[in-house]
Amino acid sequence: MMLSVLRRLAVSTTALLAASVLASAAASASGSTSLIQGSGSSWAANAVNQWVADVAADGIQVVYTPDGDAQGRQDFATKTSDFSVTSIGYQGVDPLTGVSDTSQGRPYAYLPIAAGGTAFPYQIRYDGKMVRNLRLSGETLAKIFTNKITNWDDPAITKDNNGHALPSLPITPVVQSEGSGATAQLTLYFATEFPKIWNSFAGAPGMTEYFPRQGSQIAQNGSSGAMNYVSSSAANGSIGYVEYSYALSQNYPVAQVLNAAGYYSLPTQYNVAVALEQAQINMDKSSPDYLLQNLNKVYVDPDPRAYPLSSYVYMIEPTGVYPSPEPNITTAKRQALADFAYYAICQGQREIGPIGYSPLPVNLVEAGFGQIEKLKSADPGVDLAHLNIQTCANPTFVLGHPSANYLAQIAPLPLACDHVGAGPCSSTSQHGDGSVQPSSSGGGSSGTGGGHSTHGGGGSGGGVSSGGTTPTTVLSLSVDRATGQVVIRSSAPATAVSPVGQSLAEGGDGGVASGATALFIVVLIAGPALLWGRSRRRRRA
Amino acid sequence: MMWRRTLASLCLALAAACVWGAGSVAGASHAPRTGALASSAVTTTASVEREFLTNGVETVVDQRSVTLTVSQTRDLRGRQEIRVNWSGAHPTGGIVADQNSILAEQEEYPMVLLECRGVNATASSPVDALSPQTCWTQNWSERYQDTFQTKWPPYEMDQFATATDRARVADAPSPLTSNCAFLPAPTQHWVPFVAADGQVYDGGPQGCAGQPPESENVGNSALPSNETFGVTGTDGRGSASFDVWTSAENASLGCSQSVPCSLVAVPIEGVSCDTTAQGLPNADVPTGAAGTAAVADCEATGSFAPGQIVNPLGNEDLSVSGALWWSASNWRNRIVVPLTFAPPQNACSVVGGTNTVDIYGSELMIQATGQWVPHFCLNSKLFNIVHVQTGEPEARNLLASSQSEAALTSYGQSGGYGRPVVNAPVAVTGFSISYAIDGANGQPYTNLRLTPRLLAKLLTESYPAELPVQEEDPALAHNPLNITLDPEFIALNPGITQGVSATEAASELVSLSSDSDVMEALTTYINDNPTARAWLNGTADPWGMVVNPAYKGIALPINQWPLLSNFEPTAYYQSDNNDCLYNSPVPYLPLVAAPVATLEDVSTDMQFAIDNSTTVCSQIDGTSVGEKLVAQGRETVGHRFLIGVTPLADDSRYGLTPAGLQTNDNTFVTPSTSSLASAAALLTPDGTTGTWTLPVASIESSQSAKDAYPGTMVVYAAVPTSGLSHQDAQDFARFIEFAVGAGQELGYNVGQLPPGYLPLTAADHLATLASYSDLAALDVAAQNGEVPPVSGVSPPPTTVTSTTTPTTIVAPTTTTPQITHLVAVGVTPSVSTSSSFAGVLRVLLLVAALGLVLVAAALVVPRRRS
Repeated sequence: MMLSVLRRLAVSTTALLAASVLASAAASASGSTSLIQGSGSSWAANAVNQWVADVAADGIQVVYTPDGDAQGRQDFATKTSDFSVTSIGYQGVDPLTGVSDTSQGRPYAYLPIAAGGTAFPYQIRYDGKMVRNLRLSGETLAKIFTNKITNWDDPAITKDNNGHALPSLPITPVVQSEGSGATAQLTLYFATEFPKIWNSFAGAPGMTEYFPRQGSQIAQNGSSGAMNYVSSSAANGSIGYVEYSYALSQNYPVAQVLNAAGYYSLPTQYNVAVALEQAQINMDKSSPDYLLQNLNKVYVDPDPRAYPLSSYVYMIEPTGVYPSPEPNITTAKRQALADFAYYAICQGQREIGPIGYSPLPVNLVEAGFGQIEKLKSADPGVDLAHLNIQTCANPTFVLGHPSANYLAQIAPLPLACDHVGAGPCSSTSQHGDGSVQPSSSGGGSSGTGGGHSTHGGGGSGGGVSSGGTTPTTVLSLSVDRATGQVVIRSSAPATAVSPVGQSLAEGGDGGVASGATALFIVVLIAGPALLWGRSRRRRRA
Repeated sequence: MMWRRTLASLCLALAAACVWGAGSVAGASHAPRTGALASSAVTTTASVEREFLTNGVETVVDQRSVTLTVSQTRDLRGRQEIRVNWSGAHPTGGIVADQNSILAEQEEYPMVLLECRGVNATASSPVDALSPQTCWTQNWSERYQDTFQTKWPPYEMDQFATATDRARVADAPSPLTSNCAFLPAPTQHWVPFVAADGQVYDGGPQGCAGQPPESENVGNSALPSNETFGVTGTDGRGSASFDVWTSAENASLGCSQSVPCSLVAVPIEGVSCDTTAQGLPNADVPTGAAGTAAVADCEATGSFAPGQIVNPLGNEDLSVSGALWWSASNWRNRIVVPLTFAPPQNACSVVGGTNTVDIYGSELMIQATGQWVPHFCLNSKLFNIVHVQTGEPEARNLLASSQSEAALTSYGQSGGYGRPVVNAPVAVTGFSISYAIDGANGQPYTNLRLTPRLLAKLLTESYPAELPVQEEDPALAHNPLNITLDPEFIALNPGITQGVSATEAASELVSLSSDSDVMEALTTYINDNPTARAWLNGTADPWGMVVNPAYKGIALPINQWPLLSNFEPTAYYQSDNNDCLYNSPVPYLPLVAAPVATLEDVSTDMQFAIDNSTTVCSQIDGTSVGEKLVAQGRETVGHRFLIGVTPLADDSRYGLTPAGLQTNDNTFVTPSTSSLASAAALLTPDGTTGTWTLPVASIESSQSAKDAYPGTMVVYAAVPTSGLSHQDAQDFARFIEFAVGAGQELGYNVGQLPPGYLPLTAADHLATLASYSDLAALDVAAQNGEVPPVSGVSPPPTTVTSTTTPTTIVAPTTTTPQITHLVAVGVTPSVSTSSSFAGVLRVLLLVAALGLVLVAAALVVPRRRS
């Protein structure tokens, strides 16, 4: 059988070389790939779908079905998919409902592919206006989703909003009906931080992927279903939970959530990156849960920028050998898995920040490379030579400081009006990061090469100071050159500086411009001449 | 120096306007010069027969002449949908819902469509020789038969089968693998699959002897398999969309530019029986009662009437079922259509490079950027560009908040971007209202016509969709249950069953939940129509249908369609007939509407006719834990009804059919080269936003503009001319120059423009836009804070409003089903493309242009030297 595998590889590689006359050296150096199919998280679907679109240009065909984390893990277990995307690992059984949850013996590994924030879109309309700057503490959220707080005029909500009371309007919590990673992240947060509130509601301690809907709560399928319902006109007074990208795509308001430093923060790519610096990752390579996350310290991160409900999401990759126990995972499929995963954790991290996710830090990318190597361990025919961490275009890298996250370093500080007892800030801060320009020293990032210097989210990372009131007390950031870690100082007035790498060149290259101009002139001069010639010929004829 | 730069651009702009004017006048009496993408449609006719051999005498029991047409056979791309139409075939009975499912093989007399490696049976290598063994099927059951009940199943009685194929155990692997040791059936027939690499997969029951790696998980996935058991109507006609796969989708099948493949159509006629079994050894000749039964089974002509839906399953006559597509009797009747493939889109590397720029936005551009992106990664002197697909409003917000550096968008940003941003036109395309509808004859309907009011009715949740809603909601009590019962629709679209089975899908338009410029354009089209607007404001239509009061007076246009119906049919929910709605009562009609997150999702729903209404309660284990509302799912062929909003370029890629949209004077216009060109001629500069707008109201009210396609949209690259780094500014400038130049050449290759876009050329009235983009690229490259004025390059206003100015408006194309003839012309706007019409006016204009160019050159050239 090994012979046939090798023969397959030889034949298909030859076919590829014959076919890809147009392909660059980089592309033809890799092994041929075959269509792969995955399913799972709708929380991560906006990022995964973008990568699926991107790698089509690399000849990699991926079909992704966002049918929920639990369904995705089951699809993987029954070998109806080649990979799965999930925010939690296999649980054995769901702690609350007892629904079975194992890989049914299929060998696998977890590969972190993105970070994001579980956001709370809400609809509160009154007097013809729509509230866009709601602030909520974790405890208030826990009470809302356990039917303890049932009206928007509740004193706890008024307190969260610094005394600004909302009108009397019943709250409709919107939960996700399928086995969902968003539900897992939400209930894990409640069960960890507010166990009394949560456990008495759920009837048992611990998290669950299947929200135990009760009372006036509305269940909707998936992130899209929940978002569709919250934004529909029937849903005035509703609040749901989805990955931040779903709210951004509808320009819909989400609640600012109170962090341990006393600031109400949004799940921007920066605030998520900051919070996840506190995630405790299982680094025991012998553990079946290797690389899975413990978020207990994320929930209570004292950084003023942290968004408490930040988490990572994972790809589950097959690590068994062909043809048994993996009758379908050929070399070409495994090559596609490796190439897709590499793209996702490197180049693919650049573009997802602005659409509502947050890139992985370098230590997880490095660990991810180890997981990709397991694909080669399972099948030596997989070619990883071109997948080099040196060329990994991840925007969070800080040269020489593998545990540092560039985004966390440049993350803007919150406005003073976002603090408990102040504000609330005006609603225009919702989509401009609501933040002042950090007084970044730039020291940690100026010498970091191509990874983030000029392109994409990193380059424009400073954000803009849009809306909000002028801060009265000011925090500032600097980067410790020795450790690569961010240091926060208080009280010094912030001075806005240009984001790194944005120095402007005067005059331009000229090559492109003058070339175009020349072409234009040639056309305009040649055109009349040609016409003149043609009409003369015609006259003679 | 700034004044020199400004003056130079003004001169160039004026020159462009002059050239535009010259081209317009000169080209007035001429059709655009074409180099159209040649059609590669193929039509083949074959004679097919079923005949019985009794005691040496052949009796022809059925004979037909089958004509098959395949819409495209060359330059195919992976997962491209091609349309197959046929006539003259035996009508199908025992029809199943999903023609691609493993149940579909049980249909009687289907038209079996297969993608097979090889183009003829005589190729030297068995790997390349076309046979049932090189044809793709998803499931083992489609290539394996066995039975305990008789020694003479129909495939043993096949007079055209070889003696080997008629052996009691035919074509079984030897030795049998241990996985197949359980096999007890004494009569077996195996059809192995030979993969492109030569590996043989024998299959067998449950695939015990091995299956290609692509086979197992295809069945349960989002990507349906492509073998198709097509339904032939009682009139002998049928059609199907066929999903073409390359080696990137299915390596075992392995079709590519270098490995030729075919579309094979096997019109099932039934087994041609050798009733006296003369071809068999004496011991195998059927005798006695069992023998009589075997002959009857073989000669069976079907247990279902033509057009009948299968019920119950498993009741079909095997000898005329699709399951025996591989039998010699059926295979000899095959029609083979060779296919060739476009270069693979695997030009780029996942590694990418350090020099990468991102452009966020328009889903209308996915097909174009899919071919443009490799042009950049292939050239080591260029850079990588990534098109991050988002709604245009989100892309503009990212640009306005400095979270991104460029956007693909069709409208300007209200309130501006807070810095100078050019809107450089890079494409002219648009949306369509596409549909998958089977007419009353069971065949796909091909001439759908829609009015703005009908679209308003679908969007406003004004059809009750289900009887409980109609009975309980007084506001909708007198409205038609769905669009097929609406007299306005019936009058425009005769031949569609009134009261279709897919009543929910016939009550809604598959559209978007996210913010999108497409929704802005669509709602503009509705809003600018006085009849639709009046209906939205509460005026009943002539038959008494009224708008759902939740939407009455809604202000349009808007870029996100809201779900406003609050009505819950409580009696329906109380009955507990839907546990999900019983536990989580929510308004019903928003679930029927069920908008999806991306236009790509709409295209997928349309491609596979997936009814997206999420009203089916799905439970894991019979309890409410984890129960969820899911979509209705794929519709039954012959009974499909689905209407959705899709990008024009997706229509071409996925074989979607666009509806004719009403313009003025009861004209219905489908998207085509000429109808988009007519729209392009109407584009009006808007100095406030720095864009061009389509005067939709004029298309809907003016006699001269009525042939313009109202769904036409311009896509701009919105890029700042200040604040970008030097490198990024150069990259975006080059992107714009490429997009508006070489990127406008039609074709399927890297760097070309796929169908679905109108090239920005003089012939299509778009030289103005192309020239503007060239200027915009200069400002992007220079980062000088300048934005060229759109008014400076506007066509003379008379061409927009006057009804007498000659323009090359082409005759209406209401019957053109889709864009297949977009024009390929020169890549640079040039007067050399105008025709040889001489006139004083033209000469004057050209002289003026030349003069302006010389002035511009005098101003520009010294600056470049400095």
